Parts: sequence; structure tokens; C-alpha cells
Amino acid sequence: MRKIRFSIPLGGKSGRLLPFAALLILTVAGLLGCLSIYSARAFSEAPLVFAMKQLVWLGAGVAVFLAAGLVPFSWYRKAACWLFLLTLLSLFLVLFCGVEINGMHGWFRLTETLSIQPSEFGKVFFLLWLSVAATGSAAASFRKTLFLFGMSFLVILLLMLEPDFGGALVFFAAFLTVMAVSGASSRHLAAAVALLAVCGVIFIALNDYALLRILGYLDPEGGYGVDAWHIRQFQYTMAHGGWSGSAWGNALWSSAFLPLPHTDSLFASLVESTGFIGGMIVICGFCAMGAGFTAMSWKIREGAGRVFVFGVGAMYLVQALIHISVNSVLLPPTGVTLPLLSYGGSSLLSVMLACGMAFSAAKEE
Amino acid sequence: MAAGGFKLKTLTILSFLLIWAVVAAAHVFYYAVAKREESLAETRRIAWREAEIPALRGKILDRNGVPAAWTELCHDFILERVPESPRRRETLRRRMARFFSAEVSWTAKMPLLLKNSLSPEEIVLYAREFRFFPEVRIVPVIRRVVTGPPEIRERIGKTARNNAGEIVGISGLERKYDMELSGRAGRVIVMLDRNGNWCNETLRITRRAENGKDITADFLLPAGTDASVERLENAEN
Amino acid sequence: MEPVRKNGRMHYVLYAAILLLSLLLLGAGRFREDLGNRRIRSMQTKAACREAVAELENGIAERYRQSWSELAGAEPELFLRACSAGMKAQ
Repeated sequence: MRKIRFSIPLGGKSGRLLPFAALLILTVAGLLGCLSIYSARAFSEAPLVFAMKQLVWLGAGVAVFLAAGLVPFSWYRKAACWLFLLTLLSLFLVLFCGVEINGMHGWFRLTETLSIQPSEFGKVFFLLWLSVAATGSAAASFRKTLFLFGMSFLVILLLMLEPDFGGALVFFAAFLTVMAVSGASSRHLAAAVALLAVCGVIFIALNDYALLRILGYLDPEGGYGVDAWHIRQFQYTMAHGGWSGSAWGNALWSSAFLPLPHTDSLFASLVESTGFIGGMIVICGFCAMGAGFTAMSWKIREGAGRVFVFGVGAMYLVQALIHISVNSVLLPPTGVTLPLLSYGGSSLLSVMLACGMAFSAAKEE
Repeated sequence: MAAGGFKLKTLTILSFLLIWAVVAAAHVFYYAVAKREESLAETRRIAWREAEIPALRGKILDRNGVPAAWTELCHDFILERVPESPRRRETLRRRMARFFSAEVSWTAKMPLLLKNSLSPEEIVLYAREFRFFPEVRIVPVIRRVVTGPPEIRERIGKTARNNAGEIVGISGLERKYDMELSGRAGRVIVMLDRNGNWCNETLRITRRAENGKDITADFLLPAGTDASVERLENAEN
Repeated sequence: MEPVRKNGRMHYVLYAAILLLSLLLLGAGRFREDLGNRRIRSMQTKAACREAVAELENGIAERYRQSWSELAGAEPELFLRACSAGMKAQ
């Protein structure tokens, strides 16, 4: 009978310990997320509600990580196409059967208190399919790049219709990353970026909400309504943090003024609690995560596995950087959450799933 | 693709992301540390308020200790200003329709009185139901109640508000014993949230209100006299 | 197969990462007040508000006095706000 192992072929004890050490890091990061969520809501009427829900999701996430790590990556490779089709279907259906939350039509309401956001799991399956398709038997060519770009564009278009501009950015970053490391021509990639930039400009021009976000970002002191006001609140919230923060559970300004302090604005709230030092530790943590997945991908010889492993690290690092950039007023508001830390069951479970799948890919070696 | 080529590409992408991280960290430093004092001064201006706790003016009692003039505190529910966006106007209109039968006209002169003399239950109810609408407010109204026949009312005198919004006696006993009857308003400092609600955790009473002293006059109120109310509008509702 | 000493370094990197994250949980911010102190301060503020509101009870109409006393005792901050006027920027 074949023995099921959950270890990475690094040799010696490291190979056996790496997944569990990673799980410990992910769990500690998840607990930090729960603490940040509590701190962001500490002065609301029910400060523990979101933090406790996130704790439950974290427990489920640990199980998902372990289960995903035990499934052989060859199974994922075979199922990649079906999982991608499932992603396309769910992103299409959510536009008609989904519910609107925070101005975005991107959730399926399962029960009174339970919703699922298909785009979060879609990130993982999209990355998987792209990794498998890009490293398939056919050599990198214009036709292949065009096909992959076309399918990616379809996914991005469905996201823009929700509208989830931030999510679309993350998906596009995943596409660029996979194509860049799997040998696509840089000219083809540049053309893809240019085409999507043009589509982005058209989208912004046709959507008042997106245009107001850009204008509010460019002129926060102006009268561009809610979005300019939101940007000023980021500035004021971080100012309350200073060097070392106002202490956990004492994020008064983010609780009183910052919209969505437990999701889209979590980093600013965290800086208010822990200061610039705490914010730096979070940034370094995400950079270390990206570097860790990169190093892990180098251990894998060939194929979809190493592209997928690198893609997971890069994609979530990009998502984290977009969130941090929005909160530090480097980018206009996009509605992107901070992986592992922001409130959201779908987001947390999908990150744990991605990490489990990445370790499965590394184990296959 | 060869391992060396893959390593180089991943390192290039990772380097770009690390540079991005450095730029983001610099932005965090700018707003959290470098621009801190300027932002905090702005937040103090936006959110922190000092409010006055009213002091009750003392009573004027007759020889038998029966009150001839006293201060009554009641509460009105007012619409202070019209919401800016049509969507918000509609939301507020639907919320108000649950409690008031008459339709609110947005073109009426503001502030608009929605209901006067709220009971304590109504104060709690409206404070909760309208806590996300800073356009409506519960405001205190001070009334001076005077009772007795005309000659006694003349002896008691009248009151009015001065430039500072304080109640002062301008004739009769009200004026003669103004120092004793006047109390001293209290002060409270509090931070408001974006809906104009008090953040109770920040509440600090910096000075306690002191009610005015009661004085006993030398007249006697006849039995069964009616009280009349002189309403003194709060100067800065 | 990787040399053993490179794998040993990986060990330390991982455990350093775990330690760093744990430090963040324990003390990246300062714990100026624990939850207990905040509760005590909240009770003190409530008591001060209750006293301030009780001073105004004599001005309340007779018919409302009893319910005022009960409700203001339960939510003194709300009633203090209802009685306050003249809000000025600090």
C-alpha cells in the first residue's frame, strides 16, 4: 500500500518539517489577521463578531491546506481544465444569480449568513490552468500566447462586469507572471499589457464610479465625494499610528471614520494599531512569503508545478502590494483585500488551498 | 525552459515586486511619521468637539416653598439640513415615514421641527433609529415656567439669553437674584464619528454643571393658579 | 541532492520567520491598556455621565421623570448627548 507523505524533497529533516512549518506560519498569520480584524472593529457595536467568524474560517483553512497538500499534483494537473471551466461558469452565473455587497455583484448567497465569492477560488484555478496550459507540450508561440490571453481576457472581462477592478488586476498579474516565466515572448506580453491598458481606460471612461475613484485619488482635497474622502481617511488613520501604534484594540480613528476597516482598509487600521514598525513587519512578511515560494519553485525541475508554485507566491504578493499601496495612497482605491489578514472566508480558504496545492506540486518531485 | 533561465526570470519579477514593496513602505512612512502632526491637527479639527452641559436655573419659591418659577428641560427632534445625495434623501424619507405620518418637504426652511417634547422613550428610539443620519438631531430646549396671577408674575420678572447664550434675568426677582439663580454650565469633550455620533470611549467631562440656587420670595401664591411657559430658545441649536 | 548544510540554513530561516510573526502578535504595538482597564474606564465615564444627567432630572417634566431616571441610568451617554448643546471644534 502506498504511503502518503506530506514532505518536500529537500533532503533530511527539512523536507519533512517544511510543510508543517509553513502551516504554522500561515496559522500565526491568520491569528494576526483575527487580531487585526478585532482591533479594526473594537469600538463598533459587536467588536468580536468578524474576528470570531475569521477564526472559524482559519480552522477550516488549516484543514483545507492539509487536504490540498495530500492530493497528488498530477490530479490537479488533470483537473485544471475542468476547474478553469468551473471558474468561468461561476463568474458568469454570479452576474445573474449573485448578490451585491459593497457595490460589487460578486457573491453567491448560500444561507442567511454564508456567502461565497467565486473569484477568490477562481484565482487559484485560473493560475493552475494557466500554469498547465503555458507549460504544455506545445512550444511557446504567438498562437498559444494569443489563446491564453484570450481566455484570460474573458475572465478579466467577467470580473470587470461585477465590477471588481482590483480582482481583475490580480488576475492580470497572474497571467503576466505565468507567461513571463514560461517562456512567452516579451513583445507578445508587451502587446497584451498595451491592449489591456486600452481596455482599462475605456472601462474607466464608461464607469462613473471608476472615474470618480481616479479623480478622488488625484485630488483628495477636492470634492470628488466619497472616494476622495476615503483617501483622506487612509492618511489620517496611518497618522494615528506613528512609529509604534496606538496599541491593539485601540484603533479609534479607523473604527470611527475608515470605511471597511476589517477588509479593504485593514492595512491602514493595522498601521494605526501597530505603527510604522508593525506595517513594515507585515510588508516584510509578505515579501518573505514571495521569496519563500520562489525558492521552493527553484527546487522543482520542470513543468507546470514550478510555474504554479512561483505563481502562487507572486500572485498573492501582488495582491498584498496592491492592498498596501491603496491603503498608503500609492494607488487609487480598488477594493482588494489583504491575503490571510483581511476578513473573508472565501479569501482565506482560497489562500490556504493555493498554499496546499503548491506544497503538493513541490512534493511531487 | 532551462533551470537557469527560470531562476533569472523569477528573480527579475521578484526584484520588481520588492522595489514596489519598498516604495509602498516609503509611503507608509510618509503618512505615519513624516506628515503625522499635520494630519493629527486636521483630525482634531474634524472630529473633536467641546459641548456644553446645561445648568438648570434655580427656582423662585413662594413663602410656603411652592415653586412660582422654574426651568423645564425638554427635547425636540429636528431636521437640521437636507441630505446631499438623492439616494440618501430617499433613505432618510423612508426611515422618517416609519415614525411620522406627515411627509417631509425638502424645500422647507431648515432646521425643521419634526417632533417636540420627546419622551425619554422617544429619545432612545430616535437616537438609535437615526444614528446613521447626522442630518437629524435631538436638541435640548430650555423653558422657563412661570405661574401665579399677573402681579406676582410681574414681581418675578422675565429672562432672556445674552450674547453668550446664557439665561439672564432682565427684570424683577429674576434680575435681582440673577447671580444666585444662574448656575454654571458644564463642559464635555468628545470625538465624533463620521455620522456625528459620540465615540463614548473618548468622552471626558472637563467641568461639571452646577445648577442655580433656589430662592424664596416673600409673596404667597394663591391656590389653583395656572402656569404659563416662556420658551427660551437655545442660542446654538 | 542538496548538501545538508544548505538544508540546515532553511531550518533557521523558517523558525526565524515563525518567531518574527509571534513577536508581532505579542508586541509589535504597545499594550498601553488591557481590556480590563478599558472596561474600568468605561464604567467610570458612565458613572460621571450618570451624575451629570441626574443633575438635570429636576428640569424634566413630572410625567417623564420616572422613565427618564430609568432610561438615563441605563444609557447615560446617550442622554448626556441629548442634553448637550453648542458643539465647538476643539
